[in-house]
Amino acid sequence: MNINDDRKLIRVRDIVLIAAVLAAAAAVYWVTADFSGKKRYAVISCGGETVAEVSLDRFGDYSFPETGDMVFTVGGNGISVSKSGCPDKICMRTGNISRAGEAIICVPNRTAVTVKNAPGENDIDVVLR
Amino acid sequence: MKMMIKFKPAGISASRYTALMGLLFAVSAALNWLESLFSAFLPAGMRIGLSNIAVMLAILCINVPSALLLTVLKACFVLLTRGVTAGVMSLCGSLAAFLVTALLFRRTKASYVLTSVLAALAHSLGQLCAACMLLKTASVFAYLPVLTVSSSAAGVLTGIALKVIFPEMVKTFGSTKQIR
Repeated sequence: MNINDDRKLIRVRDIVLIAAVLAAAAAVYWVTADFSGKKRYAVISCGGETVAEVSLDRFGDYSFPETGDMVFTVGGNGISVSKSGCPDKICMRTGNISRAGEAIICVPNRTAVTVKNAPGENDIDVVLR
Repeated sequence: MKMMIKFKPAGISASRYTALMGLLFAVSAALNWLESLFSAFLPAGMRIGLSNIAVMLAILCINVPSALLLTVLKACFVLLTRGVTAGVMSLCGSLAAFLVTALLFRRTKASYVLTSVLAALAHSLGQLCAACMLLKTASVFAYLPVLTVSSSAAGVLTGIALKVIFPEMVKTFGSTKQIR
């Protein structure tokens, strides 16, 4: 008999397993997203190289030669990608991120925006690399 | 000795096999396009993975090499229509999903929903690994919790679709004993 002849749609233990995976995802989300820091900054990197570090207090639009036509906007809700020439616009549709550990990814532009807590009392405005 | 991969299973005629593969590839390409239309309404980066149904059906009712061929063809279709980056992402994701599906559908009695949920999770993980290599940063894994939730939902949908479609495929193209 073929192995696929009496395959079930779903079993009870599958529901338990999927629920466990979802619970693990929720746990990872709460652990990795760090709420503690008051001062946060965004690290913008392209191809693994840090392009700039921008404080989330410094509202405004930023663009950098390394990231081409991308425009990063810092506002009250955090940082977002407000303009990008990539095909799927996944970076723009991610919207605002503000908590340490969150990230915006643009694979076609090889660009990542990651929010981090400012170390100690250092008050970074903008650091260009 | 010459190594040959047998794509066509013994119990099916060459013309029937060609028709079946053509049909599955056409369906996966069409679903891929259809999906990109309404993934615009979903949150960033989420897709339902409808085109993976074709690969999973190939594993169920043809064989593993044919399903691998479909996976690569599907990635080539994405490469041509949506560019190199999307092509690489598609290949990495689909290959991971293909491996999980082949293992579970050929070696175990895992249910349709469990298999497609795990395949969808593997797809997301494969894509994140591809993105991680392209961007050279581990920040991409910040997407993992969100993608886990969306993959699970998508997997449940494709699992139900498989359960509905597979018996109809068997009715049309012969019993599972004839085409394994």
